[in-house]
Amino acid sequence: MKQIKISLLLLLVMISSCEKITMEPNPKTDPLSIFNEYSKLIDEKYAMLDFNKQEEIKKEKDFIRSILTSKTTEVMLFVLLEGLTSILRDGHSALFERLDGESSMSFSGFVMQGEQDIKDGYVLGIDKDILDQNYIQKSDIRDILGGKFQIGSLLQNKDIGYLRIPSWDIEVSDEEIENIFIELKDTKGLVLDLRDNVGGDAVVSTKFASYFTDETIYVGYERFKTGPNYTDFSISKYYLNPAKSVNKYLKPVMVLTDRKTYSASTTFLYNVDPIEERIKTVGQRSGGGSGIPTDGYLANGWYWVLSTSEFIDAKGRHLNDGVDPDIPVVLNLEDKTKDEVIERAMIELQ
Amino acid sequence: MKKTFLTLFLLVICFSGLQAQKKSVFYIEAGAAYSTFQDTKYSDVIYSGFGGKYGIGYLKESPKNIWGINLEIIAVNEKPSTHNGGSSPTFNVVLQTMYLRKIKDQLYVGATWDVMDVYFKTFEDLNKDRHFVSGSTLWASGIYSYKKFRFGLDLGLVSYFKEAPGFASIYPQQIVEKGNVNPQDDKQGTVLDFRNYQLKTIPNPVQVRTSIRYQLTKRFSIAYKWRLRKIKQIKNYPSTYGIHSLSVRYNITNKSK
Repeated sequence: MKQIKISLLLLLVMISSCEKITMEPNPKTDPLSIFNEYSKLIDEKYAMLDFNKQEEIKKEKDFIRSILTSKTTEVMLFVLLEGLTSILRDGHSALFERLDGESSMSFSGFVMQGEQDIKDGYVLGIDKDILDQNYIQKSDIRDILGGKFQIGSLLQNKDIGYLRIPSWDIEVSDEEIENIFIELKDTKGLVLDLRDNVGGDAVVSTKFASYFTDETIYVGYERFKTGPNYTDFSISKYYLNPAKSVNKYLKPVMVLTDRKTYSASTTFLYNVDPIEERIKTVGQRSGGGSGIPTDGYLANGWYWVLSTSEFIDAKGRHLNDGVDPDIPVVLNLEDKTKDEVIERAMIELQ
Repeated sequence: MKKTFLTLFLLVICFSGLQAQKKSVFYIEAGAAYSTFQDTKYSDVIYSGFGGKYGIGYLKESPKNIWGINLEIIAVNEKPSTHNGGSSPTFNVVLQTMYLRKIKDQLYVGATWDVMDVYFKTFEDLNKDRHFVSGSTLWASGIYSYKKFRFGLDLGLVSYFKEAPGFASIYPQQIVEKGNVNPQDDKQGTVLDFRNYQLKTIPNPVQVRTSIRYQLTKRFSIAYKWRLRKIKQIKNYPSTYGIHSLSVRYNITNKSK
């Protein structure tokens, strides 16, 4: 009897000790399976399907499905999925092909509407040579944070501060942010140059934004995908709380924007947008990219990124394709002596 | 957290005072672990890999009951089974205490409380670079002893926990569903955020542990253990975790009365 008991217990352990029987089987990696997996991810996770993209995506999927066979090569499959990805056009969504198992990847996607506009002839929002030679070098503007940011005042008016943030992709401590605002505290106004800043860490850009208000302000809401169905969304309302600092910047600010002011820069813009009486945008329409992306691997190892949320600002605007500036200014690229956007910002601040 | 440890300490003192002592051991444990993982919210690809297991604990047995306290750390490097994408270093730290009463010859039943159970993994190369389940679980426990064998079975009854990521963001699902995402909150969505836990009972999550221990000598024993956890934060999209381990226990002290 005891032997039977022991045998039963051993059997219980052996049978139960295989969690794989409770898991879904590993997915297949043939072309059709990969296409279906990617299609499902877009259907279920992508947050911006109501932006006239649904019909376009459906057509593209039908087309791909009609030509896919088991003999479709990897390269052809990637090209087809690249076509599907490019319809998303939100600048975050992309598909990468891992070529060699190492770190090098080729990728498709990352179609930023602003970048596409520039390719299609939209006037550049910044000429870095003009900025560098006629403004940065001639003023007491210097590099900080290992050359990631530039700070100082412009030659035209030393009372006006200038801070150029070309990227939010930076590790910066709270103390370093505080030091920046300590340096700016005696200025009478600030030109904050976010042109060509395609994003980075939205937490950092939000921390910067928190220095420009002394009261909690409602800035808008984010729609998050919460489930696989088309209507599965939740809303988180965002409020910008002021930085816990005595060096908050509560003077006039001109934020310079262009079509490549994107992603985490859009986060900064929507956070300060309600402070209309003091903070204005100058330059070109911003790039957008307000959604938060998430990512993963397809069963064959291709790496995907999809925007799974979307931001709507306090004025009810969908920010995915950016917003027009308060003061539109176009660069005159013929005139190599002036940055008209900076000049206009200076006039506004004087 | 301090309160939890204080409670645990008091439990230890109380139980030790109540026992008519038979045997008490302080032990260390080491061995190998094999774990598997699948989060169908993002992919059906199963991750698996080998690693190590380390433990330390105290066990007291009397003719009427068994109680003990145990800290266990498992570290595994998992890899996806269908491609060569980034590997996934995985850690599981569990601090637990158990109390079982003898109800029949060689059969003990009672409860195990995982005071702290943190399962944490990272995904190389991903922005969504972490996956975690952290919390506390109360288990119904049974032990059957036969000669030098000891068989264990635990069934997870109640868990107070959180899991991240949610369906489509790094935040736990309940934070997103309740509309509580706050971009100015650095800790939100991290394993160090001790808020936003949820109380859930069997069968969601499903949690099972089994074990077989064989006493080799007075001081050495060898054990095979298995753990399964299946959580459905979103209907039809479960995440499943399995950990197998084979370990040797050495009783540093082995007092019998």
